[in-house]
Amino acid sequence: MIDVEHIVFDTVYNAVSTAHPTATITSVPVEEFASFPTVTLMEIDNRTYSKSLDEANHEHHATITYEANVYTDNQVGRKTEAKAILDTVDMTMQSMGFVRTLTTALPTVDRTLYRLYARYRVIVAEGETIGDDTVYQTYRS
Amino acid sequence: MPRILIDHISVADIERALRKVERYAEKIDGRMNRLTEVLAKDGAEAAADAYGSSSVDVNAIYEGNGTSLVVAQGEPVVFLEFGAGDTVATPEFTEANFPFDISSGSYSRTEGSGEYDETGKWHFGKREYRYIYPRRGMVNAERVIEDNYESRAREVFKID
Repeated sequence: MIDVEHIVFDTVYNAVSTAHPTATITSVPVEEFASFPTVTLMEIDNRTYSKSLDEANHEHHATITYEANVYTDNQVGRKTEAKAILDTVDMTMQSMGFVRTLTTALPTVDRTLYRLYARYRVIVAEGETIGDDTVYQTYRS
Repeated sequence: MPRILIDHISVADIERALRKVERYAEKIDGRMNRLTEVLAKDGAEAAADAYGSSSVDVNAIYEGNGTSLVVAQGEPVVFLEFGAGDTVATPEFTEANFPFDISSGSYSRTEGSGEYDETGKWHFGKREYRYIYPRRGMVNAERVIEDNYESRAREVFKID
């Protein structure tokens, strides 16, 4: 299985925590918020790109989908803050080759919260070892 | 597409080939619409499976001009697609909230007499919190449509 989650998450984590030091960033759903702003970035789908399967049924590419959530709760400026954080997430995801397929503000049961949601997709090739590194090529899905 | 063999190029051969293409075009007229309908039905089934036996109604709707939609309707559909995203407090007592639905994706409640919140509003039961995990029906629909479009296209555009 082509697994790049640690690279994707670490890259976004570093970018968001640098630009927005107060943000909490997780790769799992948040059931109860400890603080705000909170960002979740989760890989919600990772499936074989069947067109490049070889005769031995080995995968060489995978289509992966991520979803990002940004939650803010400021009395004033929560929408602006959420947009700024999502912009950082977005630029970072795009720099890795992801295509954003959806962005929307979602209703929250707790009306004091603001939630921005985005989905991203990319096709990623199996890793290629170059020196000590493993390099993953990405393609638009 | 029909297979057209031309041994040598002549006006008659080209006219014959054109007639074949025209006949093929007549035969497949409307099949693009049919393809979108079939794929939308596949997507709707996949979305309904993902949402489960909830109060979400998923349908394939043909819009015309080669466009079909997968439409999910129902009060909890946003929560079921994207998750609650936050915890859910039991609703305060208002006429509109009573009796309230406790199906998946809606508010939850516990047994008990209730309590006041910090603003002095009365809530049913204890103020319980529950996270709603996303079921991503539309993600499922998208995946199935992508998986099926080649085989469905072969079926729909097949000329007997």
